[in-house]
Amino acid sequence: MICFFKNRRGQLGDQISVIYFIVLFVIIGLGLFWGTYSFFGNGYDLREIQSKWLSDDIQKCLLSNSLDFTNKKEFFKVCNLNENILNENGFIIRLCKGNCYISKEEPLFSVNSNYQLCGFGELTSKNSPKCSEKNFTLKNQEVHLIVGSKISPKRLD
Amino acid sequence: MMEIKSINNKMKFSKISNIHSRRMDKKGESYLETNLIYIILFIIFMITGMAFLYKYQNNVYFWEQYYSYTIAKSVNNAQVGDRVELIFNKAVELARKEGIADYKNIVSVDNVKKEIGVSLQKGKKTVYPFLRNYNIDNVIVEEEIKGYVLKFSVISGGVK
Repeated sequence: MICFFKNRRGQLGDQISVIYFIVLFVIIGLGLFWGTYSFFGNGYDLREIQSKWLSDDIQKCLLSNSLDFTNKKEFFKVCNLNENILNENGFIIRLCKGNCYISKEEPLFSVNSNYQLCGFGELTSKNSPKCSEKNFTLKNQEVHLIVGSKISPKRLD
Repeated sequence: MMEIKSINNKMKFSKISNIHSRRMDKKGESYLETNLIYIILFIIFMITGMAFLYKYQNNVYFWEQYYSYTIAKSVNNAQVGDRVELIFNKAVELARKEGIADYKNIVSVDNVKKEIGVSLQKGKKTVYPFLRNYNIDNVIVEEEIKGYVLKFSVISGGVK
């Protein structure tokens, strides 16, 4: 080791490969880090499952109860959903006559306004919602239900 | 004279062989010295890499998410008055590996924020909300014949 630092005989050629050795380790290390992080780091993506579950639940609730959509509180009470939690976590709920994207009528029911994001299809951002859409008949009307979720488990320290 | 010459020759030969053997030793030493840095770097790299992989081996974050979501889903699908029981073996096993001796505090519930918290690592917690107007009560982890079981009661909760 001492020779390595005090070598004055022009024998650097023997040691120069240490740089390549370190570069190789750095490349392998970064590969290891990237591989591990990409496999374990992101965790579950529950947005799609959650939005599907919620749209099924809302559809079931709407079909089994006769609701007055002018009273929002009643909807949350009858469907047993917590309004504050849905609002705080950015859930999107929109129920319209016909198709929500092209209908010019006011929606029958709406939670959070950015339902248009659901129309963009596959959004890759972690903060964008994943949506579930349903068309069904409610009180002899064709309705369109859009439910979007952008909630992910939060890791706290 | 001949004897002296042969002795001189012998001495010369022994000197040469000594020098040769010394050179050989030096070569061996320098070979070790040259490669010592590689060996040390390799050991450091291996230790760091193994430590990094060991840290992720248990995949605690994944299991925290899995359990927080499973519990929240159970709450979402439950009715008021239900007593829910979930097999909790993997969570307890991981928590013990991560140095949490008291497995009874792995799960925490915030009935105001309607959040389920699962902690399988010291000082860390993963939270996930449930969407119903319920409260969770009597959260316990019990050791039974079939293993560790998480039990909790679903009660009516006021709207925040």
